[in-house]
Amino acid sequence: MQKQLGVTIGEILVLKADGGTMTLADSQDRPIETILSGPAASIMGVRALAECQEENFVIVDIGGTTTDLAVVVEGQVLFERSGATILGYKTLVPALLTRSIGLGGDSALHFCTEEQKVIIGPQRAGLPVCRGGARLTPTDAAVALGLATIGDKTRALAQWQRWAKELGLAWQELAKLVLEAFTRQLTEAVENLYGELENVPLYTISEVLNPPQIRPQAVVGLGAPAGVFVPRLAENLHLPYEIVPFSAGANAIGAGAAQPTIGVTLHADTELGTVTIPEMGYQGTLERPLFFTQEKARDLATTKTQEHAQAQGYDATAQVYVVEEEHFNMVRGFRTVGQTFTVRTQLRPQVRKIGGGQSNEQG
Amino acid sequence: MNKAKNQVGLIFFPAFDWAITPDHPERQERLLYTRDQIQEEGLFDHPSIVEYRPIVATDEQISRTHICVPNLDRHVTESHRIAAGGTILAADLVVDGKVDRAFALLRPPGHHANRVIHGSRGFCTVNNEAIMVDHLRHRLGPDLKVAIVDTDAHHGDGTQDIFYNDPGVLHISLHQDGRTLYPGTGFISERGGPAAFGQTVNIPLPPETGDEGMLMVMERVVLPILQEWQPDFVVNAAGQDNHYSDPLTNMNFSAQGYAQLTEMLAPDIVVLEGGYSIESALPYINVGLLLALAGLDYSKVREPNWRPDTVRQSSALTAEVARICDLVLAQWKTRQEEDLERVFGQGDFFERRRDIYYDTDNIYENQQEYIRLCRDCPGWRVIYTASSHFRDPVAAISVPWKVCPKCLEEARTHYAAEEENTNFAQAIWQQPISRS
Ligand SMILES: [Zn+2]
Ligand SMILES: [Zn+2]
Repeated sequence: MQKQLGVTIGEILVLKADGGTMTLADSQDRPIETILSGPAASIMGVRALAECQEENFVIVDIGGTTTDLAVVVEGQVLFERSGATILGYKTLVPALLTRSIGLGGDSALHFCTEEQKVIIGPQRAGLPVCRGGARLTPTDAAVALGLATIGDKTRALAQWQRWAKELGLAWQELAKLVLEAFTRQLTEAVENLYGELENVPLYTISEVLNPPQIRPQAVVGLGAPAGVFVPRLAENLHLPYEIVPFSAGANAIGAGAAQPTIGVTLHADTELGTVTIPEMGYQGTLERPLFFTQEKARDLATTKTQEHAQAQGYDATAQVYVVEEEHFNMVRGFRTVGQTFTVRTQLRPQVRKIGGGQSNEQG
Repeated sequence: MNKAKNQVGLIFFPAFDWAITPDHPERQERLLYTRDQIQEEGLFDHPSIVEYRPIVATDEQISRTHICVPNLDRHVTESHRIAAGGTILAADLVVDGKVDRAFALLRPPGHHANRVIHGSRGFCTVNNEAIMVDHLRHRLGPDLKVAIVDTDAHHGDGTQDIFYNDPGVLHISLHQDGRTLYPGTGFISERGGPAAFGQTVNIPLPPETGDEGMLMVMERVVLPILQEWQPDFVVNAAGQDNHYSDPLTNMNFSAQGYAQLTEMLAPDIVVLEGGYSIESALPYINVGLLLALAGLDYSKVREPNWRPDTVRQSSALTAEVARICDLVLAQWKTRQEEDLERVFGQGDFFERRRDIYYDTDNIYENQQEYIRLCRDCPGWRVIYTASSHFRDPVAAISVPWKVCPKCLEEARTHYAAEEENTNFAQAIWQQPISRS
């Protein structure tokens, strides 16, 4: 195969749901980690292409059928708390947090006569009329109003006029109602997502008193229809926006720009005096179990991650971060008889920076 | 997935960063095993159980119920505000129709906290469910009728103290007999003040009472009383220290018993109280309780070390519990026939003098309370209080919900006089006001 194509394939890397990549060999040991790499690719695309310098922003990926939302807080993309969810089942596979809504350039349109408003999606209408489809879509509204140049504008216009006449409206009015509906539904979805995140349960007093600040300071958009709808969304949210370049292909760029990552899970038990790391087949003993702390567990996991990365041929100089950690006092009667620590650390998923896009901010 | 009958709101707040002292039974880890059990059983993922983040109770909400000496900030920490706030949220979720029932699974607990606060008693500083009940009346109006069923192994003496003269609240406490356990109160003869006589119902149970005895009390006493009184809300102060493995008590309840109790009682709001067997009892009781609240099958919930004879009670004990049931029910039925003048005396005021011990903080309080005997309302009251910790006496004037104009006027006059009175370090005014 390599010879037929006349190119040499160096190393095949597989994208994971958390935006990192792993080697093909690793993917055979942990095949489940290959799920949900699609949304991760878009997000890594944004990280490779966007210039946004804000600490917190929302990523809006508008496609034909759906729009996917992701959240960046303090410069880091948020992860799902208990891993990726597939068909309602939590998998514990580390995954970037994304929310998908049935709203896109090819979504079906419904006119609600009582309220004189348009409702979009969640079903897909098929190809837009301007591209030979049978039913009008949000893309046709953008094309008819001259906000986008895709396909056959005359064909779309004719259909708008027909539908507007049936409803007793001017076609421009109807097409504008579609844009408004799209923006309204998109704004609601963003609000709902932040509402949901702000209701994530907190278990300590310090967190309840100082809940993490997650609200976005900017909107970063991608996907073919982003140029039309993201500025309108940003206006509704009173935020600056940016649309990444090569918007339609950002997904593929993200997959290409993602860097390898690898991690370990450390379990320590002070009652038994043991440390284990299943990924490395490592079993050790704690020298002074009584003095073992969360801090030490974290340091040990970090060192072991670097060792493991080096042994597996990864870039061991990349920053190691704590994916999750837990500290548990084992209590019998009223006495603490031991402590267990679980720390999961990983090389931070990285992307190669590629370039910036257009935005409404000067400078 | 099993279909649930009820949508349950869960306000889970373990306060992982707070304890009275590192070795205290009311400590950080109290709810850790419970969280793991709920998580492992998949209850956090069940569509009928929705978790909510607690809110922080305000000074106004706490002061509606409590009189703090010398002031609120001296006693009430963030952990107390969040526990009280989480309980308030549980009530709000039900009132707003967001859920059918709510469970405030949080700490620190509150049912030993009296109206007047000089410190902490029985690991409690502020009374979470009492603050919640007053919040409900603030929101929905003073005519609201709330029943509190306290199933903690210890007598709910703080809640009893707060509501003992309050006709809007029915307080039923079933607990291990006060002659054998802290706080040493909760006898059948404690029946409430002149304006709410009979609405304090105490059911002291002999040590070693098991599921059978507890469910007998529910069936023969608690449910008939609730059926007759017709409350708008039923609150369960769900202490879990009746469990056979609890290190502080001598009772013999099991997780199955608790779950059956919950199904029978069908409470609108459940608030965690005590329960210190954090590894052997709480995880199982809370899973059973949550399933029962949601109307899901709980029949398979069993402690790993449970054996049929663990919770079996002797026939002599069963006969004793039956006798107590008959006594309490007979008292309830004749509550309106009692001659109140004989019980509370004649005159303008009913007087109560008490010495109160704060075991957690080792404080002694001396209290004198005078309640105005009034035909038109529950009557205003004045409380004179001082303690080994705050020696300068304080005068607190408290008017009830639905105070009559005459009592309000009298109370104001009296407050003005106490403000001038140099015998007192300060005069405190307490008046709950309804928004609706
Ligand atoms: Zn208790
Ligand atoms: Zn009166």
